[in-house]
Amino acid sequence: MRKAIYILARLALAAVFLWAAIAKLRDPWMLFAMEIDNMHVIPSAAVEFTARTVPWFELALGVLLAVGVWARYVAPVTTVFIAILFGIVVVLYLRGFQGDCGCFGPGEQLGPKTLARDFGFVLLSVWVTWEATRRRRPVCFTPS
Amino acid sequence: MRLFALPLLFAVAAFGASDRTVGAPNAPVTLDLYSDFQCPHCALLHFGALKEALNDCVASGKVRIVYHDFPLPQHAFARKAAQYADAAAQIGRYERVCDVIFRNQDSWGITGDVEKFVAEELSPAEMVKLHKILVDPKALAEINKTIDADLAAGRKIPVQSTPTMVMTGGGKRYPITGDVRYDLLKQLVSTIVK
Repeated sequence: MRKAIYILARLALAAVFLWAAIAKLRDPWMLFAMEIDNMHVIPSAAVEFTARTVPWFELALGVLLAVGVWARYVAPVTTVFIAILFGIVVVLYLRGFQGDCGCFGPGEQLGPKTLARDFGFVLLSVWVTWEATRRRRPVCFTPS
Repeated sequence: MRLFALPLLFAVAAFGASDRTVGAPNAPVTLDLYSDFQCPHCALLHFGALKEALNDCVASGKVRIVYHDFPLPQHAFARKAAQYADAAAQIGRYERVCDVIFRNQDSWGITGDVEKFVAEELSPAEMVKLHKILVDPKALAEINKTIDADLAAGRKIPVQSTPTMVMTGGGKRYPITGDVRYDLLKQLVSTIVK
């Protein structure tokens, strides 16, 4: 039962990342770059690189989580990544930023709803990581 | 030097005589801009990426910019400023009046005295024309109707913050918020026009 819930949670997390990646990749990268640039959280010189790579990284995480390979390594990376994104969103909200959050493509203004939803994703990711890392592979002891 | 000034002359000349549109009517990309004259980020966009766009991709016929008023309720004098700008559009002085209004938003944003700065920019004869429009109840009602129509169109998008631009081209619409960098805007235009 617990394993089934873990698989469902992992697939839900995969869906979140696939959704985020596709929403960005279907539009020209400049749109996401403009959203990032508006936030003033990274240097201007890094905006283009970030806008071009983050959606592909999200896609890779989504695919790996969905397939379930290397879950004990992928899940912690996902949690760190999602925690960083959540941290940025919180800082922006506290700064009074009123632009797009850039989470799932253009058109979503940053607000309490975004914060609550993203916090939910962080909790989901933490739980998936906990479950993925506590599942140890069977060890074959070699008789001495 | 003269050659360098040519695109600017073209851009100024391309401003509609009585509307708030600049650029070739058949430009492949249309940029609908929703802004508030009292919004600091709108001023940054106006003097930043938009000025560069006017001199570059608007002048080259790739982009047409359509200005829309989106006075926010928390900005007490934003509608008044929009009324002055829209009246100026009717006498062919929209861009100049927009410049002076944005440049002095910190001052009239407190006092509400938009006219003081507009009068510094326009000639006395132009001010007489502007007054005629603003004191005529019918003309003022028409301007307010235009502002309300812009607000309604903006809410449909929906515009959630100012400035918001909607770039339309190649059969797609791209919403863009904030005072964006011109190099990114230009690359987006190039991608659409390609």
